[in-house]
Amino acid sequence: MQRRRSCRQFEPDPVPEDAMAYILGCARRFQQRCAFTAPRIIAVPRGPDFERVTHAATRGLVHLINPWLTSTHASHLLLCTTIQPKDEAGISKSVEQAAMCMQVAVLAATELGYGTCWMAGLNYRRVERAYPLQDGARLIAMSPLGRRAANSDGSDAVTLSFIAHDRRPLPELQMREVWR
Amino acid sequence: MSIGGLIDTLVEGLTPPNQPSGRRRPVTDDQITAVLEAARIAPSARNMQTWRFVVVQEAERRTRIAGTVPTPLSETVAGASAVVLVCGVPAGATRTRPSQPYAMIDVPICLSHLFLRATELGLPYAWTIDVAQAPCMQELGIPPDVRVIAVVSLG
Repeated sequence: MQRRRSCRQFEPDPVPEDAMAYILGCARRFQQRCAFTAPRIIAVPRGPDFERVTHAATRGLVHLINPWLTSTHASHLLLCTTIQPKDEAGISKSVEQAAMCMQVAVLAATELGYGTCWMAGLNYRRVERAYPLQDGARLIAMSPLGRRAANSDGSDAVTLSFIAHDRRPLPELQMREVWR
Repeated sequence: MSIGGLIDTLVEGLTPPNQPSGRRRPVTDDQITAVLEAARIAPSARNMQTWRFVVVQEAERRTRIAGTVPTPLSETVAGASAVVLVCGVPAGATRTRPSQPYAMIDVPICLSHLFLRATELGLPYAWTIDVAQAPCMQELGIPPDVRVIAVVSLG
């Protein structure tokens, strides 16, 4: 958890199959342990589907948020998707469960030394059209996955300009007994 | 311990029936801080850190919080050493799509950190995202624009 940092620059070499199996297996076992039925974490390797998704995700104004994605050398895209029920409470739960499973995959990738970057500023409709998800699943977020670029901290100056850098100290986040 | 190893031991923490009262033990302030620190360092959209934690240890208040979660967990919450309400607050650009505010993604991410750290520390815990919002918010004086995402019992 301490080692994870968002990474936006990758080397082009592929993540080996056994590493992918570990990353996805961790997410799947977490899902099973929690008895979550809705989430689907999908790995899209480099190729035509990868290109379709990255270009669809950044169509329109949302391109300004993640301009680097269409030229990424990442090995895979991890798609965080979920089967959503019709009711509002059910939708919330399905999104929350999917986010937890995705983060387990992200942490497993970090453990193996790979870079990831949560992305939720996407053109969802375009992606779901370009890469139809099975069982009517909805896209929640995505992350590139790959080996961090050498001689780089993996960051991207344009994107970082949108981001606050400081972490709030715990006393600012934690309350005792009641909300204050 | 590896992430895979942590997940293999998660089940003991996740299911209230696996937490008989004999396994309960008090958690220290240091242990509470340790799990919340793990949650604190989770990633969030634009680093907005939309999570807040309310730690409840008073017995009567815990009992009232227990009434806001489903039956299998309510006994565990009432008897826990500490209960953490993990809340999501609104932030600048508040949602990724109409039904998907940032907090709905970011707070569960921090929850997964909290669980993995509690597992690593060997703390008994149980949790739910099935929370009756109104009575829970009223009990703790939580503002109307905040949402209680999860209730986690520790110890």
